[in-house]
Amino acid sequence: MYAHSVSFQRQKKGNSAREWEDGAGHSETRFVVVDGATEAYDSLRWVEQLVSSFVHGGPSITPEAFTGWFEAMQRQWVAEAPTRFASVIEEYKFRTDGSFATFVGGLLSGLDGPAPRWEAAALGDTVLFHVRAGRLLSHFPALSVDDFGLVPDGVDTRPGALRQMLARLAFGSGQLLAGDLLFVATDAFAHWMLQQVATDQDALWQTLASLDHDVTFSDLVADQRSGGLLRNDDVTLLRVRLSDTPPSRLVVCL
Amino acid sequence: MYEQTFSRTNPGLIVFLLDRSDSMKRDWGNSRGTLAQGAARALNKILLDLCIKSTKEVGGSARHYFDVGVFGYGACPVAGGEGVESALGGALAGQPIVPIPQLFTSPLKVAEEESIDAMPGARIPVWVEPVFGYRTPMCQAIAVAGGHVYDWAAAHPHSFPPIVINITDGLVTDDPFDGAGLAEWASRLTSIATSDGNALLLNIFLAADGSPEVLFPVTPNGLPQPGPQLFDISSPLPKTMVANARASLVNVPDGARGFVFNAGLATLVKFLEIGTRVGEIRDR
Amino acid sequence: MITRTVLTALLACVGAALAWQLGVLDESWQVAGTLIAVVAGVLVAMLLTREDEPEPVPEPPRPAFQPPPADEPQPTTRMVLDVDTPAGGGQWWTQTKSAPQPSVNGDARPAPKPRDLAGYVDTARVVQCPRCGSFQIDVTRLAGGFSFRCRTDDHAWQWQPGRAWPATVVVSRRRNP
Repeated sequence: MYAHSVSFQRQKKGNSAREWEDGAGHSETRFVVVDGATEAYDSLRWVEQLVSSFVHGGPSITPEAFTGWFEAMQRQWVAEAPTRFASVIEEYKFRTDGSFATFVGGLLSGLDGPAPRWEAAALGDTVLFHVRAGRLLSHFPALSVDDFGLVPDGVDTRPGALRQMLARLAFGSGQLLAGDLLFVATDAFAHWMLQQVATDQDALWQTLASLDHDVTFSDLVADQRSGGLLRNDDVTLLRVRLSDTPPSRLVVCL
Repeated sequence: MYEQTFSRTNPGLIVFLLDRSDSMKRDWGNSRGTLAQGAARALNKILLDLCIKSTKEVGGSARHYFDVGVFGYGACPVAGGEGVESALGGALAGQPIVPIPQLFTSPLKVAEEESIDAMPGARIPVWVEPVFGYRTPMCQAIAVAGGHVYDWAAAHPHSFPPIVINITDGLVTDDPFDGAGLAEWASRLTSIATSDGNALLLNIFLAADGSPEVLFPVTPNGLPQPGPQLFDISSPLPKTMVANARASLVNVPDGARGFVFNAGLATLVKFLEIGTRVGEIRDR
Repeated sequence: MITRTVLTALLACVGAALAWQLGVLDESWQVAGTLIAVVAGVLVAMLLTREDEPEPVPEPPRPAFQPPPADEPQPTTRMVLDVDTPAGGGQWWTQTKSAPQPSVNGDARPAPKPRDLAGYVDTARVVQCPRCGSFQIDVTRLAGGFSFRCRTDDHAWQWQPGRAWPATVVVSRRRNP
């Protein structure tokens, strides 16, 4: 089985494209979406560190592996800290607040075998959706529409937060069939997706499954924002399509 | 209503009214300081938080997400005597409303002292010094601040409505002021509006003696004076503030007022955090 | 332009033939006369064909650049490229291809079938820069694969069917200016 992945992103309305601050990554067998805390210290560096490390040989999906990975990430964060700060406020922010990001990272395993599956770990309100034949099989973490914004969990740079991170780290998995779709979305878009599941699931999955142009995605986001259905925030949508065959075509956006 | 986020396009306004009356010289429970010192520390902490929230790029200054005003009432160290004046000093002296980038670059000093919740030895900026003396001209404070709030709202018609947070430990001493009582002045203030709602007035009453705290009540019943009076002039908490409070594990019932009675220092800090985090439900 | 060229050559040839056929001059003068006749033929042709020259169309005054209105739909044009996956994973020695059969109709080949793009996205990979996530990509088909260059960050990479697509990391462009 093959995984064809793509990620779409759109910055908060009113910001430039350079101000989008989420992160996403995918390889043949890994995928990750991270939402950096806007108010945290240098969330761009933290997001890039987490995404890049996870995609290029990150942990397996076990508590033990994540313990080691979180510790390594926190050490790297400190090791690459600036030697001088621009202001006392910046220094205070680095030392006391650090950085913070919600996280969903997953693995596709057994793609060549009889029982392919996804396994993922999550902290916070970035959400994975598993879709089969136009129906939502499961979403992970299993947040309700009302839970968004109230989940304080995330990957923290502060060693003091490690214990709580590990206690709150959620693990999920599911069996995969050819034709299945996995979507991973940051909170605003995930919240919108859950609302759409309740109202018109067919249209939702048909729309998201057929996305093949970044402008189409941007138009969708703009439409939903202007209709008041999608909260104005950075949005990221990663799609993993499972297929029996390698890609037979390449789509190039012009 | 009350759904606008803080942005450079639509910055927010947060105004603090700080009681600097003589009674603020009392020791504040086991806080190792007076009410005036504790209130100043809490206020400096929240101003630092606003600066931190507004700082995004490493090496950059703060973004203009907020305008801030801090009005002391009671003792006026600059003008002398009793009255109302901006409690921001140094390069900010005389400016009633200050953009956060300017606040960021202009603290009075950097203190090598332990902050309320920072690590020991943290270096923290100080914008407001503890001052106390004279009586409690709360009506005049609302009247003076209200003029600036009115002008600001007219200039920012689509921003989140102004938030005014009143920190006091005493009974109002200038009621009526200029022909209107405290309730009337509060009503005038909260009638100022943007397209996103009316201005919010939140009140916190400090207790030096460790009396039981009452957080975000839905009724004034059972509160000793001046609890009912302050309850009456406090705005109902908008949904976003309620959500933030609950996310911080503070139990806030539906219909709660933005009012805390007999607050200790830790509660003051929490109250200021809840009252200043509205446009964004959470930190992302 | 083609008319003018043909006429020029024709008249030059006519002039040359006349000079040669007259035979009133000795050999050296015949050559010179031919050359003169060619030049004269060219000049006559230029005069005759002058009106064929298209007049340059004055361009309308160029308006100052204006960005499209915010609500104007952006184009969503796509290019869909077939991926010719080599059989047997691209290894010729694993293939058991039989010898080609002689064609019954000589050179006649089956007409190519029109591509069916319905549902093409189900088996397609949307090309995205693995370093910055941009979709603004220039593509060149190579023997056995494709070459890509990102128009956003100038990252270049190649891909061959059957090979893994490079791992993709998409983060804020402020991290990769």
